[in-house]
Amino acid sequence: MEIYVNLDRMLVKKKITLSELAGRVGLTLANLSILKTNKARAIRFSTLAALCRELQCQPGDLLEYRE
Amino acid sequence: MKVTLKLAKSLRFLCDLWLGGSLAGLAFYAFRIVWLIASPGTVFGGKGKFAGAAIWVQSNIPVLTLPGSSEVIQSPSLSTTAGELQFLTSNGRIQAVSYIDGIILTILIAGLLYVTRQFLADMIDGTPFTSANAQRLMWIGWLLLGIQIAKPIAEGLAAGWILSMIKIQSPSISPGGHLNWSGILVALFILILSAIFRRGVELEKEHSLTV
Repeated sequence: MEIYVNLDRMLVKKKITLSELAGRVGLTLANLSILKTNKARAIRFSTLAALCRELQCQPGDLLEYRE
Repeated sequence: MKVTLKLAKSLRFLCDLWLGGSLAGLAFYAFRIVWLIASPGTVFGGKGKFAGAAIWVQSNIPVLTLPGSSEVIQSPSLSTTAGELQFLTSNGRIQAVSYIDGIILTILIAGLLYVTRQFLADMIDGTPFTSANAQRLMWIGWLLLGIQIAKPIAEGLAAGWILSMIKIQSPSISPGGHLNWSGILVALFILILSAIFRRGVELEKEHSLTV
C-alpha cells in the first residue's frame, strides 16, 4: 500500500480513543480498525470529511504517500 | 430478500432429498448389476426365435417387431428405471447394459446437486459473493453442459451395445440420441453468469474494504 493512514498518530495527538471516534463519525469499530491498520482499499469522501471534522484536521494530516 | 431466503432454504432441502435419492439410486444400480451378472439366465428368446426380427431405436425407444406378426413391442426410454427393457429380458447382461446411461447421468446429477446445495448453503449464511461460490456456479454450468451432452451419448451407447448383443442387423437400426439445445443454451448462460458472478465477488471484496 502506498497511501498510509496516520490515524493512530492523530488519535494520540487529539487524545481520543478509537471506539470514541467510531461513535462520533458513525462508523463501526471494525471498519475504523480496517482504516487504522492500513488494510482499507478505498475511503469515501464522506468518511474522510467526518474524520476531519471530528479530529479538526485536514485530509493531508491523515493521509500520507510513501514510496 | 426474505422470500428469496425461504426459497433458498426450500431448494436446499429439495437438493438434500434428491441427493439422497441419487445416492440410493446408484446403490440400487450397483446391486442390480451385480445381481443381474450373477444370474445371466437364458438369452432373450434365443437367436432363433427372433431371427429376422427388426429392432430399431427411435428417439431412444427400442422398437421390436417379430416376423410374421404385426405385433410391435415398444419399450420406454432406455434411460430410466429398472424393468423397462422387459421385452429383452431374461438376459442379465443386456439388462445390466441398459443401466449404463442411468449410472452416468445419476453421477453427473448428484455432482450438480451437491454443488448447488453448497452454493445455497452459503447464500443462506448471508455470504453469497465468495470466490468459492463463483467457482461452484462455474461447476454448475459445466455439469449442466456435461449432462446435456452425456445424455444422448450414454443413451446411444447403451442402445448400440444392446443392439450389438442381440445381433440383429437391420438397416433401420440407428442408436443415438438427440442433443437438447435449450438445455445446452441454459448451461452456457449459467457459465456466462458465473463469469459475471466472479466480477461480483471482486466488487464485494472492494466494497468490504472501503471505509
